[in-house]
Amino acid sequence: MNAAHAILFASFAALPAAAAVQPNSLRLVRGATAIDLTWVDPTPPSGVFRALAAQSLRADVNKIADAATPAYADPIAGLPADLYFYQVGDASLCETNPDCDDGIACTDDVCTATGCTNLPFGLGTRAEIAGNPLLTYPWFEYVRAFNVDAPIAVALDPSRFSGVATKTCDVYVLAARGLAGWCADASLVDVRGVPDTRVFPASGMQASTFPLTAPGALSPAAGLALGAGYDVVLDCDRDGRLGPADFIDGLGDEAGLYVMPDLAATGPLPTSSFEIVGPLPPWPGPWTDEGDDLRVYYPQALDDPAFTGTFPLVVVSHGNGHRYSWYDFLGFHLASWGYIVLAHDNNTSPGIHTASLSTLRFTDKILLEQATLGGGVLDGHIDAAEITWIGHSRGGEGVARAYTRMRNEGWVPLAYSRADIALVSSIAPTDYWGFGQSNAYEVNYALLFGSADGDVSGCAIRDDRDSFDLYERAAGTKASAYVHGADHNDFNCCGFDDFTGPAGTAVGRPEAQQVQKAFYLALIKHFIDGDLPAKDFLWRQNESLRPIGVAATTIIDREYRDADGPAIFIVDDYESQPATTVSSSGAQVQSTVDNLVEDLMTDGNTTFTWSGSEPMNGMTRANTDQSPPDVEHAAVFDWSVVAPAAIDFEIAAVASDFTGYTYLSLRACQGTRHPATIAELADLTFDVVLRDSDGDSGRINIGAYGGGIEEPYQRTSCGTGAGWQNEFEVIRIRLTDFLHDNPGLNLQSIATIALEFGGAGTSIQGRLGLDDILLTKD
Amino acid sequence: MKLLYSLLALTSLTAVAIAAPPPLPATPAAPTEILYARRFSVTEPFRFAHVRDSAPTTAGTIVVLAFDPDLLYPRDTAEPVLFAGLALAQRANLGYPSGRLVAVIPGEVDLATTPVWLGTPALPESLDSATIAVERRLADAASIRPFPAASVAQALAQGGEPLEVGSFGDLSPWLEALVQEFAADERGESFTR
Repeated sequence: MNAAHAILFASFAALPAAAAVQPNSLRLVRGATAIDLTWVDPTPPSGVFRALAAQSLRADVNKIADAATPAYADPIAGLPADLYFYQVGDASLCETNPDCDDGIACTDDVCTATGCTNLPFGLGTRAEIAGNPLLTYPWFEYVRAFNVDAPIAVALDPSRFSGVATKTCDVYVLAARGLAGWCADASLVDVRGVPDTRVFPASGMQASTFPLTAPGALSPAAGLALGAGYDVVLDCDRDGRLGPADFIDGLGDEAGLYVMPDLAATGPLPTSSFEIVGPLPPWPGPWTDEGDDLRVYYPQALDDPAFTGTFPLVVVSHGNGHRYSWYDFLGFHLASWGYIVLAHDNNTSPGIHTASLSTLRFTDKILLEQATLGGGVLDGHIDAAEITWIGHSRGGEGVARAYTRMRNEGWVPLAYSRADIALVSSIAPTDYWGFGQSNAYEVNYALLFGSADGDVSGCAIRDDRDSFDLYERAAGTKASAYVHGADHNDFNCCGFDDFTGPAGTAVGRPEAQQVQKAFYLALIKHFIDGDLPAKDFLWRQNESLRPIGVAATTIIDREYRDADGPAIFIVDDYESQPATTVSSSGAQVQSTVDNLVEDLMTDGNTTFTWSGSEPMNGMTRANTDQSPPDVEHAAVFDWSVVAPAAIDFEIAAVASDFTGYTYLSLRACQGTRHPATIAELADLTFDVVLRDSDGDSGRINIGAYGGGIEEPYQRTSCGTGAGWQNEFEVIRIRLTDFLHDNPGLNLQSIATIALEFGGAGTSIQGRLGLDDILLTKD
Repeated sequence: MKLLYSLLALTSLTAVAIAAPPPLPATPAAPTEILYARRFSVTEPFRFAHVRDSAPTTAGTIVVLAFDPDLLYPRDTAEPVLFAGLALAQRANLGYPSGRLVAVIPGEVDLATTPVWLGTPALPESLDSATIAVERRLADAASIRPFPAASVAQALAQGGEPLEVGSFGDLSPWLEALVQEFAADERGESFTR
């Protein structure tokens, strides 16, 4: 037999997490003298690997080439007749540890094109199990975070996991062990005392859903971490051990579920503070470049000379007419959760350039003078490698300006570097200086805004009061919270009441600060400490998950977007391919909606009045007053009661395998003051439909998860009518939710993502802005 | 949230705005009174670094001016900028709610011949000599005139002998005392609700 005839050509997904190679893009063609490999990789070179067994690559043994172009011809001559597997990607991570040995006995350690993988064996099947039942399809949502005052349920779809069908399984909830822990000890001990015994049907998601715990049954205590981790096991051979016949949610670094405390409540650490009042007057004034007063909030443990630990630094830069001393509530809150918080004089009166200097210099000051400030209590205890900057109003723009100064204008701090700034966040920021000067660029960014802001209002009249400009231009991973009924000074202790909105909608300062404390704790825990469950509070609909200390009546719109990179696939973000018939991913878009327009996210005039001739009315997310202007785009459209409508995003074949991603994510907003918005004046819902190449489909109403796209805050002025700026909300649907009771849908071969409007159970009319249709890992 | 807004519509009929900040009065706007003036000189020249093309000086005048308080309501959006002739003056306090603004006018200025006013809302750091000249023309067009000589004389008498200090920062105790005297409502932690 000719050697070439015996070669089986196999291609493996080169996962994009560690390489730019497009998943499943590797194609093999046997030529006369070579196996011709081609793939998609925007950033070659790519490593080419050949092995005799799947998933057994070793970088030092199996690498046959570094290809400078996304193509390689592997000569057939000399290849013994055998079965060969090819893979492309970047296995550089394996080169210092070619065996990929993780030291855990029960893992299969191999090098792949994406680096080492360490797959557990003999410890059951990994699955999402813990979550919340839903009233409509997909009947169950698998989530990571549960408030301590909420019940927890379990579900496993027999149509996906046949091993559970018709089985009687014992359901255990256990303190999270991690992979090494499970490897060392596979015995099952339920934290409740005894497991539940559940009989799974042959099929049916609803019938396969069972309660797990009542509210308060599991402790949320986890020290300084947010949320206590638990694993969930379905012991389907009922032998009291985790084994091959069982299912586990949590076999790895991430627990199966996390029970969360009240994020607005004081943390576990006693706190203390000190204040430095310099000789300059105590009220705001442009006395020096930065002023000389500060307050520091810190864990009381630092008062013990024997304490040797460190805590990350959070810097708070106030706004104009505000004071450094107005953030006690936030400083003590974060200190109680393990942070050193500096609030400082901020020279906002001249403007943003000076405010940014205050932030830059005070950050240096606390680091350089830690041996003496406050009697030296901070000395050696500041973790300066993960700094958070929070600024309010002009100070909120100032922190972005400070980052831009370091990045583009040569500002060199003395005691830290740009790489040490891990999170920049703005509360109701101004945007005087636009894209070129006030830009968080690639750093993690977050925005907090109140819809009743009487100062930096968000009215379209001027771009310098459009806080969301900063959010849109930030290119890193980012999150925002839009709080209905909160005003500009609700987010400090003592500023003038500037509430501007409909009577009866003011949430009040105490409530706004509950939101603020929870938001910043989740943000900082996630971005600084890598806390996983905190992320749920950054993207899940508030109707599905809100901090315990925040009232159920408080309306919060959340946005979250991962930075561009290998963890996401952009279906359409409207930043390229301006034709409405082509998506950013280059595939066709077909639509039957009305008035579909792609354009810059800026209101076309100075009011929110609906004129019928201004498609981007209500968009306040791009500063065009400054040069260079912002460039972020979105789509807008509407549908009427006359007939249902849809937008179909075709998916190119090379991108059709969705199994490497966790969520389908999009964000949308209602069009303020549009007749359809006024007619509905409620959360808008629509269906998201996945169709595979065989024509099978799955359909989920976005309202299934507890909310829809919020109606605009009914504030007047800024033109005629009621309704404030367009409020985006992110919707993230777990891709496997489409498989519930729906085994025919093939997530490896998705041909179309459709958004369908006006059908049964959805809003019969509406006006939407739409953006960032993405696939994202978690 | 349809129900919430429906209830609101029933209770308020229209979306009534409450407790909003005062609307910004028109500018340019002149002070209603000059309450205090004191010339000073410094050994170390100073300039307002945030004004793009300001020149160093060793002289100036501390003033206390009375304005419509709504002009001085603290805002993060642009506030009216204080001008004196062709110079940008430096605010030393908020001036709200007292309506009393303590400020420093740089350079040798004769207040009996130099108008002082609050001009177009802007960030001071965005201004330069050309934009200040435009503001001056707007003030002239609005018939903003210097204080009467008698008022200036009275204010200077109130201020007393010129101050001689080493640096601009050394003015702080005098400025602080003036804020305490004329705008005592700005002391303390809270600007109240």
